[in-house]
Amino acid sequence: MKLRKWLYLLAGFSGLVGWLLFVLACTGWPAWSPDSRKVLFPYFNPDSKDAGIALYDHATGIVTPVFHQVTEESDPSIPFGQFSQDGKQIIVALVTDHEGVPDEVLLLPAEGNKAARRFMLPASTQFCFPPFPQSGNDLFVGLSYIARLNLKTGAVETKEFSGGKGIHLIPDGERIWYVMYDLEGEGHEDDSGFQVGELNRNDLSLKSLFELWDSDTRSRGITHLHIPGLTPLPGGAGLVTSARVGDDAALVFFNRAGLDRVVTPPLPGKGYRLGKLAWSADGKTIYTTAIASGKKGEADLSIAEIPVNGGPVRLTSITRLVLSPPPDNDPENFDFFIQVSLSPDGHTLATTTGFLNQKNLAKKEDRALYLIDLRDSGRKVTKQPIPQGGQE
Amino acid sequence: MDWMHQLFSYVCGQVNLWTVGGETLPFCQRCTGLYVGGFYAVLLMAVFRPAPSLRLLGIHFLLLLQMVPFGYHLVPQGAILRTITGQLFAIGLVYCLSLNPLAKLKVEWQSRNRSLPYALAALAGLPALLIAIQFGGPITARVLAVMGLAGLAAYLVLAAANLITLPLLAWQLSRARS
Repeated sequence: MKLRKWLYLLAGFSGLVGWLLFVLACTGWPAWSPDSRKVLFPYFNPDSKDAGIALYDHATGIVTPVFHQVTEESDPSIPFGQFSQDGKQIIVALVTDHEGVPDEVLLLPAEGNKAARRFMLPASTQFCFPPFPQSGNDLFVGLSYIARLNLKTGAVETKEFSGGKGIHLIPDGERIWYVMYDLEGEGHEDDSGFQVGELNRNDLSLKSLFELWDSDTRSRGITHLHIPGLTPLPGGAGLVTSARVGDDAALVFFNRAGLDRVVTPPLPGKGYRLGKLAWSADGKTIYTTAIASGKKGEADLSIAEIPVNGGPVRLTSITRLVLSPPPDNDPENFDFFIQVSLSPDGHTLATTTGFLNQKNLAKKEDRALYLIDLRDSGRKVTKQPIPQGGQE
Repeated sequence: MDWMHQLFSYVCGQVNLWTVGGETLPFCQRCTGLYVGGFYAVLLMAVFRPAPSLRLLGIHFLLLLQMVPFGYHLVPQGAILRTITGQLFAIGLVYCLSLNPLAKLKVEWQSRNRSLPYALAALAGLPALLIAIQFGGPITARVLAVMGLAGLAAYLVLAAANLITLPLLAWQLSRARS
């Protein structure tokens, strides 16, 4: 009887602790807060020379800057922001590809007046894009090295790699994909390539899966491949990114062995440029930005909904842009920065023009965060203006 | 199901969600296993009432412990594995949390030869949930959400019952020792 009571005590205590630990282990999502109620977006106000990260609260409809800096530059470096997995902190990355300028990551409290933390990274001439992978207290950043930032202790650990000039890290649940770009290889002196693989979170080692060179992609008709836009497939079976095949916008699917297939979605015309991709919650639709160039540099920015198994592409018009060449017409320099992000509950898409240079906007008031309601059959678009200068 | 999304946001990160018949479930893939599987595990305990033994407790401990490598992302895993590990954890959790409250209620345990049907019924729940997720429509989604809600309610009741009775039990045992 006494033994049985000890069993009850042990079992009950283990159950309580186990459930508590389980709830704590449940993970979050970048840019949108884990509860889908708040979204972070970068902005630049050319009038007040104010650049930073703003937070839009769905519940109150209020936009507030959470980080900003005054800059004299007319085209300043734009910070990136994302929520930590638990939604309690905001990670701000200040990254520039200017030589000799160190990169920084700030960890700010999402609520309350708790202390902020600053991480200084070694200078790098490479650039990186969110979302940055996070695993527990570790945040991973890929530049010309791989950095692991301990969000709890403030420790920064970096590791060099060889074979390429820079590396992008792509979160995929518990897995971290990497794309090492500007490869240098024997027999490829006049060729450029990239390597895809998985990063070991513990020792920061790289496990290569495949390499692909420009000559390979050209042979498949691909004229431009959006390498930083590589996005995991649902279930982790590979990656997909946007591309161009001549004048056609395309999606390029990769499995773990290399290039799998090239798909040209039935867009309503030629010349569309697709941005970074986001999967719908059911894994049947790809959301992305679509830029259609018109006359005199005018370009329509839309959100495209592309059914993966075929079918018509739905476009939701967002705003009009002005692309004056160069470098705006170069997808390498422009399309990277206009991204789409899906809320964790799968109900709302967000994209922003908040950080664009004024010359790229048809009207001043078009500088905003745009929210697209996917539950609305008419795809209602809500526009939230950027914070005005001088706010705290 | 918006209010359910809101409610589960307090106990679930709501990342990697299942969509069943076009409806997104209000909890993540692993928590689908935990909460829907928790409701099922409560039914199993009510029907089979497996008699507590060291062997059975050890097996259920292992079901809890398997969550350490999976829940803390030490092992690469996909959606199905997340849900299955959540279900297995739920079976272990409901068993552990039920023992003391059921003993206090003086529930009659079934004989040990009922352990096999209990185990088989528990295992049958694993593919049943995945099939419902894969082939279910909007009604299935709502049924799963309600089952998940019932699972959460069951955990809360069991946790509260343990929080009340365990200190008493610990005090009784320490008194008996002294």
